[in-house]
Amino acid sequence: MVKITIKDLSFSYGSNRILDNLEIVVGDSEVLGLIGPNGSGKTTLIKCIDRILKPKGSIFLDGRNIEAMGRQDIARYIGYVPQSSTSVLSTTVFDTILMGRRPHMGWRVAEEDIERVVETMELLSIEEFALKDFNELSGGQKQKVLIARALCQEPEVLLLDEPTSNLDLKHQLEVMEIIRDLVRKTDISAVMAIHDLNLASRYADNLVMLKKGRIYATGDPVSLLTSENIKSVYSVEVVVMDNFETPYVVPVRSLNGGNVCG
Amino acid sequence: MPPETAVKKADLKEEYTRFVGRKFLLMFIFILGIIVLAGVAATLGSADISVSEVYAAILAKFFPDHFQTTWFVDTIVWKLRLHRVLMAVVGGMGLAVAGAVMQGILKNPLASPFTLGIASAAGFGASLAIVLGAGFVGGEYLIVGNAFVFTLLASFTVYGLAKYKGITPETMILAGIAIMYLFSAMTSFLQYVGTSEEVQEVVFWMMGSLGRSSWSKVGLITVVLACCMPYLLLKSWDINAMGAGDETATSLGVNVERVRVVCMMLVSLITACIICFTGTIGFIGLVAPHMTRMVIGGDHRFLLPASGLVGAVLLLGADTVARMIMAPVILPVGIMTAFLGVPFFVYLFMRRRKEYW
Repeated sequence: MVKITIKDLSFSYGSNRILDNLEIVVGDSEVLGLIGPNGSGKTTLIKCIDRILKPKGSIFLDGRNIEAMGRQDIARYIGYVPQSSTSVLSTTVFDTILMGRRPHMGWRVAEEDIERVVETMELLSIEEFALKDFNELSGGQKQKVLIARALCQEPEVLLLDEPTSNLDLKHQLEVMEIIRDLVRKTDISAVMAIHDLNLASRYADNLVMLKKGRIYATGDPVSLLTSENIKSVYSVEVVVMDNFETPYVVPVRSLNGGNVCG
Repeated sequence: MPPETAVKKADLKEEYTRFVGRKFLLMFIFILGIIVLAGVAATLGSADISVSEVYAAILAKFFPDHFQTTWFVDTIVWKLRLHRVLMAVVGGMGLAVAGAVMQGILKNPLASPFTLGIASAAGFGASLAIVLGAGFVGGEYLIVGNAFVFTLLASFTVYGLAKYKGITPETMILAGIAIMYLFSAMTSFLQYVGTSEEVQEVVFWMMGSLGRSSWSKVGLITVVLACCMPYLLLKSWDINAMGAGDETATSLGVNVERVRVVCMMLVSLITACIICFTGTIGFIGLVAPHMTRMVIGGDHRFLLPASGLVGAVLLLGADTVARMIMAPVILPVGIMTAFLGVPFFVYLFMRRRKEYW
């Protein structure tokens, strides 16, 4: 089953073209990684898919044109996890996650909504923070709460914008494993913009490599993460090693001459 | 489900239910506070009546078979004092709710009903009426009409300016600052050309007072609040979501721009209706939501009504103190709210803990 079909998608800020004629298909139970250097359009693409930004072209969610869908319908299909979130005004972790039920509930919180929040908190092992202030949590804990909120939407697709960008090594792995396990255990798919090529290599089923708003290459990590592709897109010379059958990217030197490794 | 998990789940659910129950309990305590304070406030004045006589006079109106009162107490309470007390209650309630909504939709803890230049616009409208005698409505409603119309005019201008650049908290606040300075400058000009009596009247109006209250004004504010509150409460979840950022709120299905604009217009209407009768009463709209947030949390489903109750307590308390402190002279309540509000505001600033900043 195809979860998302993107056809001829373009987006511009004024005259500045950010995304140019993208064609992407997201399949069932797939982790799709969007990779590319800063400014290549990864985050913009994530926001276009969730219709936070309004691009040109077509996006079909389970065969339905997104333009014909209401905001509420989109929110039931796609759960968005922003790069980071701080709430200026205080909210508890429980209330933050409960917010994910908004597309499904009215003003009153039903028993079922509370149960869903509790289940999601247990799934991500964050129930001990339930009544803590969201802003008091560490980066890793916050990221889990944001994923929990998106899961409470009961989406078919999770969109994640740099889910590991502010995390230490342990939390990076923890968050990525949570995402991969969710996709494996349920039939949801995940699309994530990700900077770390080695995390992308390890946890994504397929990758889309963006360069200046265009798709440079698509494919599974083994076929896509080659030293040639990376050199062309990132302007960095790398050695790609085999790490238990997943590519492991080690930078050697940048193209302007400096040695990266000593 | 393993038994251990089931227990844990039940515990969490119970804990959350207790957490919500505490909020209802606090709101009940605030309502009791208003009832007690209202009774005390209605005893203040040259005619010496007791708190029990005040309650008896109020209850006798609704249950004449069960409560007795005298003509004298009934007249003092119903004709002279109660409308002022209720004006403080509905005025404080409206300003505090307006402040809580503004802080929510602008994601700014420093926002208040006056952030969008509303107070300056109302001040200018009143000054125009007082100094030049010009206005939209004649007679006794000249000042009230001007303050009301200019308040709404300021809101529409802020909306228009922000719409041009995109309705975000930043554009709205910047447009509000521009409007505030424009109307302040125009008010200063009117004060410059006005006579000393006119300037005195303008200054007195801008200090805010409940002395001009009447039953019809209380009724009007109540009707406006009753019409606006259901929508604001209905949009509590949307305001909650907007606190997490416009993008997150959009992804949760909120039409962010529409909610922000409609809330802003309703807040302006509530504020206009109150301050055109009372003058600009500051600090209630800023401080009451903060105080409430500290005890009841940031969920707007509870924050909005509870802020209203706290605002009512604060304004009624400030008015009561303003009437007692230099009796028989009654200080303008706007001075008292600032006197009580500034120390608290400084306390908040010095405390500056993560949970509400």
